Amino acid sequence: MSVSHSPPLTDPAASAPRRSCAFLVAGRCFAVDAASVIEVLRSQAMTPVPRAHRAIRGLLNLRGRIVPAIDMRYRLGLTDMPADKSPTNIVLVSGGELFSLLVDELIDVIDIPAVAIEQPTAVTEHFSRDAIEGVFAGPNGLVHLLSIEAIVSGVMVSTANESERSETHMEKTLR
Amino acid sequence: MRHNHVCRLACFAMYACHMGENQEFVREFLVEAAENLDQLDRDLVALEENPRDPKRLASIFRTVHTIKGTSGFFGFAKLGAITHSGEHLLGQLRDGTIELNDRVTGALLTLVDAVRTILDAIEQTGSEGDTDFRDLSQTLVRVAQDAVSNRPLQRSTSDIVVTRLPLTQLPTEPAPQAASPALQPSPTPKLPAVQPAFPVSKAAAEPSIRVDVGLLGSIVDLVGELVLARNQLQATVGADTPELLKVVQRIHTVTGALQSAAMKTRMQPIDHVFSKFPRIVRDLAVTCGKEVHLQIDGADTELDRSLIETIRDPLAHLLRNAVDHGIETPTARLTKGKPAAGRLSLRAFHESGQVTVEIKDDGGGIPVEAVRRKAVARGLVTAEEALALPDDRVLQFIFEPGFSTAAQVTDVSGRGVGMDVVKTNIESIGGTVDIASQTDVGTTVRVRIPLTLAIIPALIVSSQQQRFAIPQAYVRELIALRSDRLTTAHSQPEAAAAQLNHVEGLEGAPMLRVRGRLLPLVFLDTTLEPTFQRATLSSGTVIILRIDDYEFGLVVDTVGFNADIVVKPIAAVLVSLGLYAGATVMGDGAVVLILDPRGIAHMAQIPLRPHDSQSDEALVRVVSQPRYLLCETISGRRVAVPLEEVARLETFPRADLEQTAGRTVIHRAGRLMALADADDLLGTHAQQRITNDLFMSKSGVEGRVAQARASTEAHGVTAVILSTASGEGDVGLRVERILEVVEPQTPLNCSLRAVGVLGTIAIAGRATEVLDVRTALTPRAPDHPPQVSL
Repeated sequence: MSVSHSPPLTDPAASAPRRSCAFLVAGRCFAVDAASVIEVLRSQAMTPVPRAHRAIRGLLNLRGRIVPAIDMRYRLGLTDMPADKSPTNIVLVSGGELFSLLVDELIDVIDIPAVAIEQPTAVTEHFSRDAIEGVFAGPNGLVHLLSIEAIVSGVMVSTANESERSETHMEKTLR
Repeated sequence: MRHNHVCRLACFAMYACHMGENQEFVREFLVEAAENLDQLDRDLVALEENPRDPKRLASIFRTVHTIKGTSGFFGFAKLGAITHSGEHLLGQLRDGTIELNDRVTGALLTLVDAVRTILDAIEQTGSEGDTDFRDLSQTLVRVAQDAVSNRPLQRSTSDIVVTRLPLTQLPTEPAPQAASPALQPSPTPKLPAVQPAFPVSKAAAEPSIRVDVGLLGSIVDLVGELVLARNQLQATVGADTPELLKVVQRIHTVTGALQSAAMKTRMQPIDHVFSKFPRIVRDLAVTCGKEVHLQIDGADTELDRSLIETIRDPLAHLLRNAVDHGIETPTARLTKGKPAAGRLSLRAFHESGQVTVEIKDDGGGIPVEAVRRKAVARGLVTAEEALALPDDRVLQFIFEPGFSTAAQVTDVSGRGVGMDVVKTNIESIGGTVDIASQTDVGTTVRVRIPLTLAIIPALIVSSQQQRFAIPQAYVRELIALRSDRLTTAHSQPEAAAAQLNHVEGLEGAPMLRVRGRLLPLVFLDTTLEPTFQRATLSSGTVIILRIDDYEFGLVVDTVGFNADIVVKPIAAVLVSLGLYAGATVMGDGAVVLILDPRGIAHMAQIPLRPHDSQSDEALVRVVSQPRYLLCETISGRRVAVPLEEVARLETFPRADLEQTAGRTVIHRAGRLMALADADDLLGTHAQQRITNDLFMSKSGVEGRVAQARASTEAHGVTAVILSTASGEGDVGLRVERILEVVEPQTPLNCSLRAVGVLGTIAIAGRATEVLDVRTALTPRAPDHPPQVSL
């Protein structure tokens, strides 16, 4: 049983700065909503999931909860991580489920003024942009704001032909 | 519980003025009201049985009063109006001014439905909705008035008999006065005095609090982690630190207790489902013009809360079937010499680690002949096969999709959807449904469900260096796939060995021949990684998996061990793959995926319905011609077991055998399986024949038994595991060795039928007895325990 708590139409939070968790993926800076982030972990042992979307590198055990880890380099259509480096896990919650984003390294938690966020069309870089909500020109370069929901829905697979599809997706993004 | 309401009302009143918190309290009101309405349904139906039960009346009155009061605080005018009218009617009932009759009950049940409608509207929209309930209010008022004015007329003789029953508890009641129109409502003065004497409801006596379900879930998860940490701790601590060892022992004990307590928090009484049923059955009985007494037992039986929701609809469907199709009309029942009112019993109880729910009616039973005709008409079996099938097998057809024998489709049931859905739903949670029926005596349906889905027995296997868990519920048998057997299959002198284990291609798809049947083979490695190239088709272990009525072999690299695993949910993006039922965490902390055999079969594109595989001659032949598993008993006799009764063959180490309550059982993966000796089942008659056998003296028999004992010590016990249609748990049949699978050309000769012997068949020119498997499956009286000589 639920009674909806509809937020007021004029959300005071809309003009407030967005607290975001910024991280590096293949030399570029990305950020997700800091409120969704549960914790940040060093590289963890993972169990691969055969037939899942290639971006899902495996499952990790977070104190008894099974968490799928999404390789952000693959998800964003960027180059693979060098074999000698190990990723950092940013564990976050989306739609009541936990996910871990595998990133190169965590930068910091930053406040991004809402007014400074621009449309992603301004970006011309060569990577998959379907999960990018907006960009922010920070003092140290561009910060790409990611939608967690879009990241997750992009790794949904329900058919056996996923391997071919993701390759064409990959090609498309690299073109 | 009821006293709490008063306090809560005060709280509502106090806080209702705080605007922001109002919604919070409305929600709490809704949750509580929903529970109270369920209680109202139950109370009203119970009140019909026992119209003057003051306890019920008082409870109903208070519930309606509470809803009325609270709706006033929140300004729900409609709710306030109808509950006010209802309260007025109930007040008169309680005071004894009016008597309960069908009209009153009907009006009150309509009130409950109306309250529910309004509450739903409030929940969804925040307001009471547009439905007009003024008619209902008027009806309630009219019923109250009519009942008072018509009261002397309504008191027919039969009414007096019924209503006087409860009055026997009140000896001061002058019974003859009951017929007098001037009767004073005699129980009235007593009621207030009686009321406080009722035991305060159980919930008030045992305090409980509402806890967020998610919180309970995370406690269970954390306890699981603690168990893992404890296991690692135990492995690390050596014997050289006795003090530390003592602490670790203590942690071990406490963790175990904590784990079982945490698991208990997931349990709920099955009453959460059962409580809805009296109302459903009552309404249905009225609709169908039948009289039904519903008897509910074991409502306090507990099972995992995640299962409770799943069984609600299947059970409701079974009850509807029983009322609509099972129980006859009062006239028909009286003609048959049965009481006019049918008995419907709903019983839940724990049984060997499972919960059994039994739905039993004393109706007309399922018309077996009609089912048989329908099965032939629908092409499920040929007419000859149908005649040969025993009645209990025929009954299984009602679980086929779209199968209905109802002569006419009613509002309630008979559209041919149902039993297959019931079966699918119950099987989806690892349960079973079986049905027994006898013409004019009634029908009994038994639904067996696991206590919890949280922990299941599973087989840990590995493929390409990765471990996977397969739920044991699907596993039938394990067979080693060995290249030497495969390559030399046709040159092997032992025909049996070749037959047991033979991969052949059928239209390009690998098939495994198992005791004469061809099963499709699915290779786990290539299914999970399509680009993987197998070096050979004949390495690894075949796990025979059963889904519904169909079996296939899943080839894995190695089979590890059996373990009770804790099932953890996986993300929706992984569930959508259809291959995994979840994941679990192993003792070493690693995550292991749980395979969903249905999804694996689907992914490998093997047909899942046996009727579709017409190209497979072997399967067709099994149906038409009986095959037998030829075994040798310990005393050296040859006996044939019908192959369709055999679930699998197993060899157990001697240490797994136990004597319990005079029976021999096999202790296996935490379960007990009865083990019967084939020689015992054949009975004394057979023993005598052996000793009279020209080829073997009595001492020869004893010598063989002694030999068998010695070989048991060395090699273990061989058993034929018989499948039990009723799902009572498997029964093992102990034999000395398995000889081969035979397909005799001559039919079964029943002239030599005896205890434990169905008849004889000619195998290689030699008459061989066919074991009557039913005797093995029928539990013996404890004074004649079938002992296994060890």
